[in-house]
Amino acid sequence: MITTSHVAAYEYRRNVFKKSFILMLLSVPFFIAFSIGLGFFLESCLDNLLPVGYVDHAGVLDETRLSPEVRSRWAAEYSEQITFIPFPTEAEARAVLQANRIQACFILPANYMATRRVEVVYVKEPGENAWRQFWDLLQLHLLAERPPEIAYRAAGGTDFVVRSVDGKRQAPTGGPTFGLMMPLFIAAAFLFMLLISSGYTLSAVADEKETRTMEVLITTISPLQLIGGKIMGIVAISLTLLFSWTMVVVCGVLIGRQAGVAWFSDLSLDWRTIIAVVAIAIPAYVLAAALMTAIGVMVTTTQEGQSVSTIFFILHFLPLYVSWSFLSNPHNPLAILLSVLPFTALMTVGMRNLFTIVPAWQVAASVVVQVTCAVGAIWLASRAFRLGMLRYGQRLDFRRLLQSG
Amino acid sequence: MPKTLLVMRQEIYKTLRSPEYVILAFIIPVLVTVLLAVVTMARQRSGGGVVGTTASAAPQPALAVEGYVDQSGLIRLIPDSIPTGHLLSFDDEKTAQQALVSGQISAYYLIPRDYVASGMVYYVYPDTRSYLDDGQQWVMAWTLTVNLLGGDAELADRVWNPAWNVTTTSIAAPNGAGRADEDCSRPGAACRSNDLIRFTPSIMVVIFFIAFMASSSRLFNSVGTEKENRTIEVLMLSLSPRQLLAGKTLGLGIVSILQTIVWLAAIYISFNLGGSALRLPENFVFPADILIWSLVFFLGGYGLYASLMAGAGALVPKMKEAGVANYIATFPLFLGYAFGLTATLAKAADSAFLVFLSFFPLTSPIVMVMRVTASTVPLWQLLLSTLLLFATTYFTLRAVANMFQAQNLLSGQPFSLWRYLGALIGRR
Repeated sequence: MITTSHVAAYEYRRNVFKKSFILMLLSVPFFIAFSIGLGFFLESCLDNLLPVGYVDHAGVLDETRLSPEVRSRWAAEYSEQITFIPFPTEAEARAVLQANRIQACFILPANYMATRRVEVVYVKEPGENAWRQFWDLLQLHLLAERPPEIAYRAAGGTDFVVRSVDGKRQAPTGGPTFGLMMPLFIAAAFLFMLLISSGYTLSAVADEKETRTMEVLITTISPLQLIGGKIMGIVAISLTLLFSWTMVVVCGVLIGRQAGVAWFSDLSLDWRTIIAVVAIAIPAYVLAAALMTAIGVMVTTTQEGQSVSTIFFILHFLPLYVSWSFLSNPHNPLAILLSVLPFTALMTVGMRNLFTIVPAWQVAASVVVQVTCAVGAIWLASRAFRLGMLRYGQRLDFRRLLQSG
Repeated sequence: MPKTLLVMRQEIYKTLRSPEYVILAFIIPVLVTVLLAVVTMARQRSGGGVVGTTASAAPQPALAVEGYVDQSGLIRLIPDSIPTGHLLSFDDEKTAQQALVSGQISAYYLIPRDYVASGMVYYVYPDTRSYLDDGQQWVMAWTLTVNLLGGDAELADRVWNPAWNVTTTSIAAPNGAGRADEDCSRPGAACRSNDLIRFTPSIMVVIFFIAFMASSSRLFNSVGTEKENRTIEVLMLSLSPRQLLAGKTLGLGIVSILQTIVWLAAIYISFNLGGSALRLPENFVFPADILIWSLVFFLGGYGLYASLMAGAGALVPKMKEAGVANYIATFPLFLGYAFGLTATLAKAADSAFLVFLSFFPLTSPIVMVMRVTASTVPLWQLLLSTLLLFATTYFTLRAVANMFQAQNLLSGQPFSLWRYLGALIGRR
């Protein structure tokens, strides 16, 4: 046991205390920050806070007709409300527009009520917020004769929340909430961890073979101690990464919530779906780690192993390419098949949970398949390790692996 | 010089024989173009395809029967536009659920007591349907609006569609005459009615990012692999490091330009000849000057990034360490890619920041291509950006040529950012 922990500690130190590891550790927070920055850039480009002018020949936009209650509720709706300036003539509006004091001018012709025609004049295309706020303003004026609460509701429309029949799950139609996305995030995090640790697993054995340290190692420790220690070390590396990134995400969510980001307001989690994803993820992780170990032993160089392992990675990401079929019908035969098959199950179940409740029998069947495959892969890895640990310059193919012994 | 040509020939020969290159450079673009040509011919033969418009309105799907439980007491009438028997009232949720289970209705709406204040309505349907399936919510939304307005369907329709006809006029034209801003005769954000035309600049950004990554990685791998398998030690006996760099850069440059020409030709042919297959307007033309400027910026960008990657390759002792080196050398390219891609979505192709990025030599090979595709860029901007790019490429090539020395190429020292930057600025 002590020897195994020595191997694990060595494997951990060898990989963690490296600049490339620190770079990888920092890459996720960096990309999260970069994506948020890019999002703000996008938002700032689409919105424009300059005032908007209007010329109302139809007599619809009479400010005095709006009740103070409607006006204050409308103002509260937007974090940054645009000022609307009336102009008596188009010529005056155009002159102000040319001077860049307004971003656009909306013109309602005299026959607007009959034709519903609106003309928009601008120098540079107005921001998305200008369009949104002008249509809202127009709607509220059309409803000016109605009681404020009715006018506000009719203009604001209805928010539909899709609810499961048993009432336990809700999904707003505007897009999934953070809580609903959680199973997918967990599946993606496991998959990411799996991909990273697969690389380490692959090189852990292949490196020892490449540098011929394997020959020295097996004179002092048993193959089981060696492989057990290496896997323990790699799991610890993956957990270090996962923990660090989770902390970054948690901090980001808390900061976002404090800053009033609407998406983080509802953090309620459906534990059934989370447990289902984790139950599939653990055997899926063991399966991948064991297979990578087997490949690491069977190939002659790390590079060769990487090209073989690419096939497994493609299989893991296969559900992403067929995700369109889950959108319309999350219970189609392809979705059910991919939910059960090894490699594809984790991502498929993670994604399907966004659109529906994955039936318990499918989760159970998937767990059974993953566990069976993981046990088989561990057996295969131990067999490959015994046969291939001292084999140099010659690949150990699957046929020979299954035939011998 | 003959030795440089020998290295160049070897690199061209080796790359042209690799299946990855053949698939990426020839098979994929040719297949896409042929596919589009076949679709276009089939459309022409069948006589269909009024370009850019739909010949007839698509048949409207039949409405499903749904129910509702109105706890707010708001719904007093079902609008005439909703066929009778398609929106059934239920006294309580239990009855509605029974109807849902028995198949009498496909879904039901639960309108809470506080609907007017909250605006929220629950939409309940079986778990076999996706939560993201919008269904026919408009039926209930319309019913609620009409009922909120006391059955006044005309006012409800006016609130739903306050404008039937929106005309936009830009007064940015130099003569101040004003013009309609919808322009689908060339790629760019000015075309609002066709997403493919609008997002062509983004497509160019993606294609150029892939082209730069693929071509510069080739040089990196070529140098790195020869260093790792020690072929470089043999090569150094008969070649000078600069001859080696020049031969490799030229050889791989030729195959990369060939690949880019094939891709650009495929885009040009697909857009100009496969218009009906892509549902492009009849007056749409993919301007040839976009291709010319794209090639110019590809040449400059390739020279710059390939030399940066070759420099990194010269310092990497093992290809396993290539990840970090690759990441460092191509990071500015990634920034250009991210902002170039976002600019089209943000309609900000000509914003001050993007204009700056289109002059900055490390990002200009991608961002300027995006700008040239998105709008008409003034000639002086194109010339200045080209000048800056080629000047930077020249000085980078010189710096990397200095890095191509036996002490770096034969060294087993690990790769580090400081060593790389130090070598680039000529510090040993």
